Amino acid sequence: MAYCVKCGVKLEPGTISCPLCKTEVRASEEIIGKSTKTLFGSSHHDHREEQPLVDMRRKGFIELILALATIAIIILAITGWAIGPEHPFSPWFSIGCVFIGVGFILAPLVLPSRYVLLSSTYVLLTLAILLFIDAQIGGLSWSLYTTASLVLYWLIGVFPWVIKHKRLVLGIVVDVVSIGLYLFLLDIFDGPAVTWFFPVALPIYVVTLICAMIFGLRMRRGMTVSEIVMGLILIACIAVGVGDIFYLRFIDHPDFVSWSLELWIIAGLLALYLIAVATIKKVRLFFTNKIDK
Amino acid sequence: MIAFMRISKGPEEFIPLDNAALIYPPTIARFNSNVFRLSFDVDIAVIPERLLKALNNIMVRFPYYKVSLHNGFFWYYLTQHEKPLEVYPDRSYPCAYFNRHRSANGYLFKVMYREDRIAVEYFHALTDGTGGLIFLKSLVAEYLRLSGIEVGDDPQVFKINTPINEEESADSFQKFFFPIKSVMESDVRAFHVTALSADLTDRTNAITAMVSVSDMKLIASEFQATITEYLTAELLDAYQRIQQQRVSSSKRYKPIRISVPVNIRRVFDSKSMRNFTLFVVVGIDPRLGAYSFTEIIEQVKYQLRNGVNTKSLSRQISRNVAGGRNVLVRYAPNFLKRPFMKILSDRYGDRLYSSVISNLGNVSLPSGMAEHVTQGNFFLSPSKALKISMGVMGIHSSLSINISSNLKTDTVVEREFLTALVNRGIAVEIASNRTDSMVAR
Repeated sequence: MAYCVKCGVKLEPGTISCPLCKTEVRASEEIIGKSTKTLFGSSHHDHREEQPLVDMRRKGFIELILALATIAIIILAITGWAIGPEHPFSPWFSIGCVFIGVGFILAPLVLPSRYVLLSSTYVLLTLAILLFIDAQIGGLSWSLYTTASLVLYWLIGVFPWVIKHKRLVLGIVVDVVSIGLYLFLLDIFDGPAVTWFFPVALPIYVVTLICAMIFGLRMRRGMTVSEIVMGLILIACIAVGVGDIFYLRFIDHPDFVSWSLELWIIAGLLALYLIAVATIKKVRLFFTNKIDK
Repeated sequence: MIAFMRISKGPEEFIPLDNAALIYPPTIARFNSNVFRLSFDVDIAVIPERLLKALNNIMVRFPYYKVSLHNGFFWYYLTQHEKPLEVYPDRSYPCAYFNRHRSANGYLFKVMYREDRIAVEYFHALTDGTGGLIFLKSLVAEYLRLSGIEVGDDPQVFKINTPINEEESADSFQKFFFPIKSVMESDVRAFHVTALSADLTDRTNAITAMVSVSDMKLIASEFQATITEYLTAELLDAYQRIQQQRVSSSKRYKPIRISVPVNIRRVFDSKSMRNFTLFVVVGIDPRLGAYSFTEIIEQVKYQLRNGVNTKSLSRQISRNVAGGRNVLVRYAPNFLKRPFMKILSDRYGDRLYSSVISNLGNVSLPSGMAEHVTQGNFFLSPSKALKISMGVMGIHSSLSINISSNLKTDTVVEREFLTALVNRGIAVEIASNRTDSMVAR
């Protein structure tokens, strides 16, 4: 039998490190001894015990939500039955909402805390509740927009985490295509034929993408906060200005630009500033106040 | 319907839980098994078939343990259970989660064995440490008798042919209830060893420290304290040191409180074999400054001795029983009560104290048994909030301090507590089921 040199406790035979402080026992095998009578047996002989998966408080909240939902559903069902089928109130709509609401509350309590899993669940539940409400009101109409928006959110906000940033290019391509597709779908939902997508939305989108690409490439070389802010304002001005130009063409207006002229002036000044900062060292130092290395 | 039966003591097939047991079934969850374990190591071979025979024999004397637990509309309740009893090989860890339907064929206790050990794990809704100890002693005595060993008489060994006292199956809490107005008290959260869920395990880690009873008595007598008082003070001191090490600013210190279960059968002259234990919470408040050990032990002595008297305990009984008798609580369906008990049990329970220490005292063994029982162990299950529980039991001249923990690797409490004993000159021998400290078995 050995003693722990750090804790001073006597260790049971066969112990190779102190259970209290993890200090390794440095002694001969004779002193350490052989493990004969241990406190408990080997885990190899354990019969499998069922284990509850959630802890007490979480289990309490899950049970409470289920209990309250059950009460709500029973009350709604009784109400629906009592007032009869001729009454406009339908309990099924409310019961459906209770089910989806329970899903909303239970998701973080039941599912593992992973962004992709939780956000995907919430997207699905939101889709379900919106489609359900729209269908109840009378056929699918506005829910098409919300469905497209939620799918777009998932593609932009969740999909990159699904592929875990391993394929950055794939993520960017999916985002770019999905935004274009989203705009296209909005145009289809708007009317019987494709109208404003090709003459207005697509040019604006392409110009904005090109600006964003230039901005992204510039950012990789390093930009100050003021440059980033100004760059973003510039992109916004160009996008809105381009929107004005293409919209005027779309409605066959004689003017080349209308209200966006001021925006183009601001965009020009910002572009001048950014080009100067990017190309002329003295200007860059003046604005950034950095010591030249 | 069950609620009505609780009051009218209706048909015998519905047995209401005792007042202390009400909290255990709804609060069972991961990291909260609400199980305690008692075991005796013996120097003769334990043969499972003989053990099962001994178990079947003694169940005649313990009909109130031949029950299963059910989820009623208003309350959980017990019914007589007739399924065959079984004995199980021992596990590598104590106080595992207890499935009331499947873990022990529907019974609320599980008899386990290994070549030199007889152990019983009890779901706490069935009984408390004292009831469990009487059952284990009776079981081991019967086993020894079947092995041809004569066992002498002992008040805690119930022989098969002795009459059953009606009081044994009674809920003594109801008997000693005084209808006085009292409210549930909450307090500032006590200091706990913090850990992420990922640092917890549902396989209870155990460390047992064997110390000499005479050594302990000697040290305790230096402070004019009992062994329980001394151990509680050492545990409080250990937590005080841990808080000083782990909490950077004294402004964020929390009180340290230890819950000490007290067997109140002697106080109220009860013979109940069901739960009849109350908790005395003793503590220090390091927000007021660091305590010396002498100050801690004085506090413990004062608080423990002040807490264990008929008036003070009656107040607790009245508070607990009144809660169950409240009309709103009584007639609320169980599916609503159950989640609230889970959510609120921490607020009025585990979060108010840092750990629990339960001392069964020096267990007397009758002749025949004393020669063959070599060691006894008593484990309490830890909980998610407490993380560390301590059970103490004395057999012959040695005291086993059994520390169970659901922390995967952190042994700071065990280390601080046991090294404090070593520093006072007490020889401590430890054994553990932590797999990282043993050679291959």
